[in-house]
Amino acid sequence: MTAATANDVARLFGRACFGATKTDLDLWVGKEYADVVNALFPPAGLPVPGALVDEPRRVQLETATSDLLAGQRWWLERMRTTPFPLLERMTWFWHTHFATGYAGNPNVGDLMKQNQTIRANALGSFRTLLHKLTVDGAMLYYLSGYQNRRNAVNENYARELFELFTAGVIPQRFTETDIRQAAKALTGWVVKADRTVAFDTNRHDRTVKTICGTTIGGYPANDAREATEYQEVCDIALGLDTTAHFVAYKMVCSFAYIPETTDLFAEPDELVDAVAAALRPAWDITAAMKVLLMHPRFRSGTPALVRQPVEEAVHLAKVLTVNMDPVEGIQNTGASAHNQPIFALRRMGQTPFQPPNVGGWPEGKAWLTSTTTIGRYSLGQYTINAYNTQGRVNTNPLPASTAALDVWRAYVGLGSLGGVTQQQVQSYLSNPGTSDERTKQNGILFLLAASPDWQVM
Amino acid sequence: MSRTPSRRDVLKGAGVVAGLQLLSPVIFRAGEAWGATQVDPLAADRYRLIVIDMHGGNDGLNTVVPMSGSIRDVYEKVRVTTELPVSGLNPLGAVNGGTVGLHGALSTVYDLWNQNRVAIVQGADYPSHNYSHFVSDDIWQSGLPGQRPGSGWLGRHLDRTGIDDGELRGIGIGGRLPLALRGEIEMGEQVNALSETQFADGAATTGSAGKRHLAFAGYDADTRAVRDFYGDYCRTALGVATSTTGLTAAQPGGVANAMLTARTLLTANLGCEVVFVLAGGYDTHDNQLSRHNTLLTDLDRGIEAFYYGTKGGVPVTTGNPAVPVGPVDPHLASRTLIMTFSEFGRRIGDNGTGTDHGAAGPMFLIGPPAPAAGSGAPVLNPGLHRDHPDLGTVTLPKDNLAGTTDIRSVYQSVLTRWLADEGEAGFVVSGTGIDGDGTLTGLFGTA
Repeated sequence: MTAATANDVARLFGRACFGATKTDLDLWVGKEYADVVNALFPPAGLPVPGALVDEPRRVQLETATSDLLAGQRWWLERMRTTPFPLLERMTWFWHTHFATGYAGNPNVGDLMKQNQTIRANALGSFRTLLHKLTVDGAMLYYLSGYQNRRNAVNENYARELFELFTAGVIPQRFTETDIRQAAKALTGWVVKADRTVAFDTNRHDRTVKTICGTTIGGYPANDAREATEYQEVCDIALGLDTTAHFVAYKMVCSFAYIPETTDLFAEPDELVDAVAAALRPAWDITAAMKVLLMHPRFRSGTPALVRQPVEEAVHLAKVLTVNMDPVEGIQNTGASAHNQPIFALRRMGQTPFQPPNVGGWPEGKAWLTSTTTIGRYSLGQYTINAYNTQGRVNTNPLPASTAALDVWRAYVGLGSLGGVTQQQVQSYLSNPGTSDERTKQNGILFLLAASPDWQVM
Repeated sequence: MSRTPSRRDVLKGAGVVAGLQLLSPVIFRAGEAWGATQVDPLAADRYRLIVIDMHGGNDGLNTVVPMSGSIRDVYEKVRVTTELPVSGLNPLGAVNGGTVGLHGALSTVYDLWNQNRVAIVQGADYPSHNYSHFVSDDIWQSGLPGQRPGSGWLGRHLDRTGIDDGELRGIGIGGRLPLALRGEIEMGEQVNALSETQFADGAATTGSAGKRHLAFAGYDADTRAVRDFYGDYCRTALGVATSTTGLTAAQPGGVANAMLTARTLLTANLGCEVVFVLAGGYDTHDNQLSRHNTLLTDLDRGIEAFYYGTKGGVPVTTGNPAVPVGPVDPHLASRTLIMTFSEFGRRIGDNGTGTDHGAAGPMFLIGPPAPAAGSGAPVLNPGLHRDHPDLGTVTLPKDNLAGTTDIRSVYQSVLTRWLADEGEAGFVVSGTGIDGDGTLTGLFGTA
């Protein structure tokens, strides 16, 4: 391939790593692009970093019951500080794909445990991930699986398994009958009082089921295969010809652009096809992601990905080294001050563990609305305030001058600035309404974080 | 790659906006309260619509509930754990196969029913029903079965009637801007809470955030794929912030928050015509009886707050010192129609403690008190409309409710009879109970 440009690195990190920092640009610009991509993947044997300083807090939160905000703060801070940002971005992607919310019964601990299950498999096998999430405690609650038993078959999870998590409906390869049969095969899973998941053979439907042409079940009582029948259902879904394409489509939507297609076969997209081809043989997510991130359609082309609010928020906090989970509140101005990023993210329309529904969050231009914009500005102002007050560790070295614009560009981890962005910063500096250097610096930061270059990559 | 024209393109094409005006923020007309003694300065004859999305799939059979007759017999057979006792229902009247009653939680709605202000359209659905939340919701919001729609039925209404410069004509409350409010050209705006439309550092046009925001309103010059309408929406954000400056709405919680936000915006006269309220949580696969009761109670109290300024009988107040918000302006009430829908009803039989995805369900339309006879004003004809869907027999209950009303005929009725729209050619479907212009026979009349 060729050497990575500043735009390459900024786009790669902006789309797949919660944003670049100046350190990232300094380290990778000029290196072989493929080497940069490969370096994003955690070393073999280290799929889940266990030595991170925030790990004890995560384990502690696995037993939390009601403090959703604590879990949200923890995850945002993990996103900001992780040495494996791609792994964390993939964890976020699978959360948006297997959207599980804090609603009804699931408590924060269930969601934190699911979060770690996703992280442990986020770059591994999609098949394994699917198997594990199908009998995950938070998922069993969120999609009623814990209520699914032979005398009271509940179709909630079965439908979303096929429609949203695997095969999709562009085009649809399963019928209502398939959903009802699959729901029967998924019966028997419960969440016990100690929040562990178990299989209860007495709740399992022992009939024979035919799903998408494949017959499973009908096992005798106490046959060990009953407890793995859910895996057979998952594998039937994986066997449908649309599944690799649909999952690849979701990846492309999250990391590159929204393909203009209503039928992945009749109106194919080159990048989706390539990612699907890499994913299907062994459901190897790493292989699929490498194809995606190295593909010319990812690397070149006009900015097309509207970043999600969580990505924008974490990127700005990363650039400005603002702690997203401070013990005492970022500005130490009251008990709720440390939740300000969460509140701003709410206004932007996206907070972790709170998808609007099982379909996850909207994508693309849906984020470009007046309400989300005002929310973005609140978050920008908040983060810059925090940058100025949080321990004052951030002594901004850059002069507030037009001449330094390109240094500012690198400082915030962007590859280039559009003409309009440059004009607007220059226009601001020509009449900033203040002579205070720090105020002007803040103004530049705000403008860059509010710019189209920041939101659309 | 094609794209739909932005409002900017349309305005440019019309030669309305040129030169430096491109950099001007959209300033909505100053919201001057209007009431019975005032003439609506925007459009004296403009009627308003509030659509409430009971999202998740409302259990229609437990909302308009079989109360007696053969439909009750089948109902009691198939509803093992989710059966509502007759004693808790408020009678609505006779339908084919027996009588139906209203869920007891909908007490305000029943009060309005007794005032002859409520029409219930039974068995609303579309051909080739889809059991997916997402597919079915898109069909309901677009009115376009069998398509992958890019626009909504209210958005296309906005396209046809146009949005005057500065009008906040279509408003979404709750979640993201719904498909229903997206047109091919025009688009509604999302205003989830009035406390969230303001910039953190104060009035939009004078605060620093507003000034900086304005900076990117000039982004039209760049025609790259996604950024092409960046400036357009930046301007709109500023416009919303500007036009809603100083507006507040009491927020007593739940659906009432959205309904009082809607009431404030409608009363402030920013050109609001259609409001879409998202009321989610209806996907009651489990623990249905208590969850559904809570949901319907919340919905009912939202409607109560809108009309009466009370919630559960307790006056809703705002400000310090607290001032009751009071009943809705009668003039506004006389022009407002509330309509509910849900992407599907639920399965006839329950699944244990809940119900799975089903098909047809009832729609509620709530209108004003009857206008003066001879005034020529549109009248919502109260009562039960269309047949109750067939439940089958006790020995052989149906699996799902087949629709008895095509939703497009309801939309066509609301568009042409209430919103003074020419209607939509694609909504002219034929069938029993549908007039030649595609409207549902008898849903609306004229005073």
